[in-house]
Amino acid sequence: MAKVFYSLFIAVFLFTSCGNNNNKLFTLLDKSDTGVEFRNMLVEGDELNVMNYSYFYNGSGVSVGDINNDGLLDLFFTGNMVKNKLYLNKGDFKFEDITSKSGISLLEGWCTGSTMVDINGDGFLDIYVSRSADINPERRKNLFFINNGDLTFTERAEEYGLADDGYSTQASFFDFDKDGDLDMFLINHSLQQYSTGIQENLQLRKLRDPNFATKLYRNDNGYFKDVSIEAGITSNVLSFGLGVAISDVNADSWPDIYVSNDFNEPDYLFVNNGNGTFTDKLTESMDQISMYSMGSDIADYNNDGHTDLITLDMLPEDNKTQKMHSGSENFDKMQFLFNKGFYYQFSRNMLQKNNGDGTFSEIGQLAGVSNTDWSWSALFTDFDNDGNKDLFITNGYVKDYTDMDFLKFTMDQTIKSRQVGKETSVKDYIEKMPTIKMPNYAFQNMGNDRFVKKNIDWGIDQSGISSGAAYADLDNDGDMDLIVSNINDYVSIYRNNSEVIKPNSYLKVKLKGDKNNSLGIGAKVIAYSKGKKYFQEQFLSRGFQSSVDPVLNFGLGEIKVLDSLLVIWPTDKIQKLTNVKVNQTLSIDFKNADIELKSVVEDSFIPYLSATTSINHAHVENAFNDFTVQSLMPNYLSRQGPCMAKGDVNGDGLDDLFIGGAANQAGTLFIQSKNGLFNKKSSPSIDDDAQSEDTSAEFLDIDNDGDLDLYVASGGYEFSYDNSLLQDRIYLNDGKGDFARKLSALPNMLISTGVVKASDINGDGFLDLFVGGRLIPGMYPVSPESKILINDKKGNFSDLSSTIAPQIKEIGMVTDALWLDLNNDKIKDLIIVGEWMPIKVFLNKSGKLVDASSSYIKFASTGWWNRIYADDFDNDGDADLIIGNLGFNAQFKASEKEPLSLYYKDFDGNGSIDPIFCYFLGGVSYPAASRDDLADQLPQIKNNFLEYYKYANATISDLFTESQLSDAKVLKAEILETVYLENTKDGFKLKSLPIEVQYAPIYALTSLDVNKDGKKDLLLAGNNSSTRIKFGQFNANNGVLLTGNGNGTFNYVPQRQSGLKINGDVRSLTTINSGSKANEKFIFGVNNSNLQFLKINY
Amino acid sequence: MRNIFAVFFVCLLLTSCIKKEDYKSVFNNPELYTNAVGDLTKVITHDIFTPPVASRIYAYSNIAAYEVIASNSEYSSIAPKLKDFKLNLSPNNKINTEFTALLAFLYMGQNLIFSKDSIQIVIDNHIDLAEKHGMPSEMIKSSEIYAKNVSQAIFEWAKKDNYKETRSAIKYNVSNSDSSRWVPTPPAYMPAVEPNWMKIRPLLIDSASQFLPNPPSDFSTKKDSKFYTLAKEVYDVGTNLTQEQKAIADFWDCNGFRMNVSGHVMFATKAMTPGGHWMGITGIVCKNQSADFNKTVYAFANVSIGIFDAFIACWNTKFKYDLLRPETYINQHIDYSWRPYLQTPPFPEYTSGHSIISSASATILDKIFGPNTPFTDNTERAWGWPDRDYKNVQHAAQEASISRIYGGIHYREAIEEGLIEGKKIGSLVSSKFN
Repeated sequence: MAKVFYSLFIAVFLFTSCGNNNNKLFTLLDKSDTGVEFRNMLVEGDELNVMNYSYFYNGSGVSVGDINNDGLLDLFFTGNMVKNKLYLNKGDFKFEDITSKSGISLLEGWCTGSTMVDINGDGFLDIYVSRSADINPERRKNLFFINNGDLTFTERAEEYGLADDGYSTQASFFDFDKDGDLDMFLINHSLQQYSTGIQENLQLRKLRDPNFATKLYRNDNGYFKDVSIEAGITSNVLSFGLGVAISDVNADSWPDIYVSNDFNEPDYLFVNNGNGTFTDKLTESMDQISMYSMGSDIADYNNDGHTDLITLDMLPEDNKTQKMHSGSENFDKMQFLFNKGFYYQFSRNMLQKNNGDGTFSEIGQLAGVSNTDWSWSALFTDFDNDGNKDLFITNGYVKDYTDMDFLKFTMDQTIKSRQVGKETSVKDYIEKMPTIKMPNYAFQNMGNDRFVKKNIDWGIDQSGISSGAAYADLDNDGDMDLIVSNINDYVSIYRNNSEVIKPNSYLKVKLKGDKNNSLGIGAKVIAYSKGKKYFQEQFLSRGFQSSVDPVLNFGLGEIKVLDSLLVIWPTDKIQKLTNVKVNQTLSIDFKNADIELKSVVEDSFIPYLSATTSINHAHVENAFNDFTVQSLMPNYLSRQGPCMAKGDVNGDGLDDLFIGGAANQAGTLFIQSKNGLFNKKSSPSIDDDAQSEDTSAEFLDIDNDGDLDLYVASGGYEFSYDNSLLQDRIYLNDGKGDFARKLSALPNMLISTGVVKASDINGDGFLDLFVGGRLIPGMYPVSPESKILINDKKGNFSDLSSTIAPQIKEIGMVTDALWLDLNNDKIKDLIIVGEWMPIKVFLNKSGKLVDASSSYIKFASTGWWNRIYADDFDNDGDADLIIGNLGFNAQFKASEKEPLSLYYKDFDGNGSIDPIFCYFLGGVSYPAASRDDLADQLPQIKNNFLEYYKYANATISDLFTESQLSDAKVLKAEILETVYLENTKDGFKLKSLPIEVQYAPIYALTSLDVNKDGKKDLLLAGNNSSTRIKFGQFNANNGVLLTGNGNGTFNYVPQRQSGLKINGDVRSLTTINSGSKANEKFIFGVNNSNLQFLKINY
Repeated sequence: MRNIFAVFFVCLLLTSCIKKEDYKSVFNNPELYTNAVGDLTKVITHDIFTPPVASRIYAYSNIAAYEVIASNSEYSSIAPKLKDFKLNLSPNNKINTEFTALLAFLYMGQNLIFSKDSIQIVIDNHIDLAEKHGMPSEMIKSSEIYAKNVSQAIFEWAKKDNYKETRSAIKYNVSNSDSSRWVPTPPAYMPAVEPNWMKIRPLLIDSASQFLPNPPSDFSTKKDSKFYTLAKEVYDVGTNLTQEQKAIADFWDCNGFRMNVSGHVMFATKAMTPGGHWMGITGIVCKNQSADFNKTVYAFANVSIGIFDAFIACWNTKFKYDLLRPETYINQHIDYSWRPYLQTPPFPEYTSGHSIISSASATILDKIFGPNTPFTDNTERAWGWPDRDYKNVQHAAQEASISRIYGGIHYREAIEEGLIEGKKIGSLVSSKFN
């Protein structure tokens, strides 16, 4: 009832308040009210157009600053083909165009980025303008308008040594060498002859062209010198710099630089070495980056004190637009580029969460900010002042020339229909293409790594083609207004109404730096309140070609008084204020900084875990491209190893270790010695089976002779379904750790096995086996056979699945299983998990396995389960479960209402299974495959879907007739979350784990007690790098440590504190007790990589 | 495209609607057949079929027409010589043979292309033409039925040629360890086209490896090696191309899917495939040699079967030797910045597909029309390239081959061996028809 009244009230309110439009967070102001009538108009001509200048439609920039020190922020706009404009803020959102009298429009040219900075320390803001496009270098020279203090400016770039005549995008001023004055970083971009996709070779990457180069200019007493080469600022003719973001990402007090590069050249992360040089540490810091990187921003979005990065790309949000712009996924091309040093790049926005240990986890998809179409500017700032920095992204493109129908059909027809020059045809055609306008994206930061699109709620839903943007508190009311530059349309100025809508606390911090850096650029400001911190850095060039409000604004929610405010100046002087009142503008003068940085103790600590003496052993994966066999599979299946098994094989009381090999690599046995070291033991019998791919292993005494025998499961995807290399193997132990294969032990079963788990099913004192089938090579996702094998008391097994557990035989694609007594009858029951499978529970009732899933699992549980682990996490005496799943950091989401589905059958009757993976996007389930990839497997769909626009809206029922679908099978996945299942009297109760667990798929689990509090903690690892290009790589997990509270709840331990930096695809994890608990080791089996040993440091 | 068809037919209709009952003479016009093949080429190009797949469409469609002719003329059926093919159909006497052959060709083509509406327009126009010229409706009906029966029988047989199975067969695996192997090439780095085409059932040759050419020279990066010399020749020729050489390369480019990339602007320009080009030449030669309707169909069937088998043989060689393209070799070992004049097609180098199919086609046409076949090739007008004159078809085949060196996409060995292999296949096809 209350709700109804409330909505009514709102409705009435809406009707009555249309006039002042204050009911949304933002109000778009009318140009006739503001007086800002700038438009970045573009006219394609023969001299300049998108065919001879690729960045014709990149748009312009915005700069904000108080040029006359009247306390009001003024606006500067660059124009590409129109004159730049300068507007004086007269208060109350009224602006005066002072362009002509300011002298700022005397020089024109194709202006791109701009930034305001006080370069000469006279207290007046100067304006640096970048220029590009023009063939004449004279007209590309960047401009520096020096403020004369009387609202006029004089252009003096040459005097400063900053008249760079490259193809410039944007400059950022900062003090890289901490000598107190401002240096400059400039990004330039290459030209179309290097963007044609035919020049990717190493020699070109060594070729530098000053016109395209990324440059560092050092300020030597007021004159700037290009020190790029000596400072290690690398770039080449393939550099297309479109974004620059500066931040001290590794918190070593030296500012670092991130450069976004369009096209194939990877971005650069120039880490400041503190000695005047930089080192590009991108590949060692980030797992994957945006492909067509454009604008960017760096800020601490999650209030952990470390700055995070977003880079923008072109991936659309909705299915139709995605399909209209996706051709075939070219896995070979990606691998080719990677091998040439172009790194892993995928076309979507990347949110790089700073782990604080020199690494980043890319979680843009989990955060919900990865798909914003062709995007330009990203700005993190707290629009609603709730304490979490929100995110604004501009987007739009004037001509939709990446449309696939254009690429494959339209342009060809156009060229053929006119007998004129090709170049002219293309240019003319593109000119006439309709303009597609779309709204920008406004995301509210909900905390916990989640952003929610708020365009409509916040009143930022107007369509347009936006480029540069800036945030600024134009009316000094304590919230950030927005200024957005648009192509072929007027600038948008949005007034922030937070003071009316939901007044939150704020604090404005105005920095007054030393003479040569009067804005305190590079300063860090941290507000502390009740254990929380709010962190910002003073860097002004942000987003795309733009610079923002030089007064920092902190949104502080309901905080009334800050415990303290810390200002760390770029020259390491520190100032600390306590009991700071909110809702004020605080001017902080450098002069009062009285603490030296060194005297402030960093929260130093020893991480919980660290590397320890390891075995020098690598898992070597055989090269195989699964997609060459079944091109429509969602992921690779040939990379499941290494598996591991531990057990004391020689009776010396110490655990030994078996590590499985990939195809053509033998599994290896390591014997532990008293000193905790592991020595390889040669096992000719195991070596003989090197050709098989080991996917699961278990030590077990099959013949009750008191020693541990070894079961090694064979699997993988790289063999044909009937290859004898798929036969599992049992090796008998002679009691001394020497193993010999017992061929007769197992029945013939050519199954690509996922898991083997032993238990005495019939109570005869001998171990029996559950063998879970993972897949049928070449026939994904047809259910393979799973088996119950019964021991004849002599160590020979026979297949009794039909009598003991008929339902298990085709249960699905099993990945893991667990024997666990669930009903306290002292007999172990079986839990089975798998890909596209529900969690299945079978109770052992008098030697028969009876499906009791419905009594134990009471939620929609079909998922992409990888691994199951049991332990008593809530100290109630029974074992709880952790089950690893895909997680949330993916293009697709799943729920009971909107599950993933996989339709499969031999749709075209040619003897091969065609898996059609579908997922929901915007409330409708669409096939995941692009039209090209689907047609590659099923060419006949081109009969109906030759053109992309037809396929763009097609669902599975459009692709196939009802009768075609009637006998197709469907698998579902309703949950992708890695879960904690609490064992209760009423079955397993689903509980969520900290969000960091969901960053990537989990394949490896173990419990431990890192902090010696007697409560079980949890270690989770995984990742999956071998997947579809559209999905990128699932690898944001560097090893996650959760400390348990003893009641089934857990807390995430930040990476810096956990010490976990596990790269790669972890496939197994085991704990080895080396004699004493103190010598406990954690062994990570990483696919195609070295084993990693970790120990607890406490 | 539809508009072009429509205009053509309206003209035809307007000029001819005065006469009545002259359908026999109207349809006894080989140009109708050549035009129908041309219409099919347009659709093949629009739908973007790769050269081997296009050859399959041409072959089955022309066989359909030829079998109609053979059932009602001095020409004898080729069906008994085609692998696994039985055609137990004979027409009643109420059909018009030429009209039926045209329809059979179009129905069969329609079965194999995607833009079915475009071919339907051509079919409808032919039926209109028959009606306008007084063909009895019963004859139209009978002809349609017989054409459908023939094309359906051929379609059923075609379905068993392994085409469908090869759609999902294992694709080409790029190797990073063997530097002599083919790798995808700029700018699109497309995966290898039809890596299983050697598994397609051939028509007249025994097997894909019946005329296996000599292996290419041993791969080597040593400057004094034969292989280096071959690559260097491509580099030197390509670096100093004359206008005439460029014209030849362009004329014979026949790249069905060329990617143009400029910044974020990307688009394909599509030409007819090498097979399409030789279909065009076949039509010109038939006209020059005043071949009647039946002989024209005969020639098309011969040539298209030859091209079909040549592609199978060629693809077998390509994936057997799996040799890298000059562009890859030259960039790695001679000059990193070198670009071929033409865009490198996406499949292994050895042997040259254009050489083998040109040679096979020329050999077959020689057999039919003798060595004296001067002609002006105007088939490339639609793509903006000026007509070229040839002394005879062999002359054209030689030029098509050498064009691949000018274009920078083949080594000399691939064209020489391609010509030899093509000649063998062409001779075999001709002998089977006699």
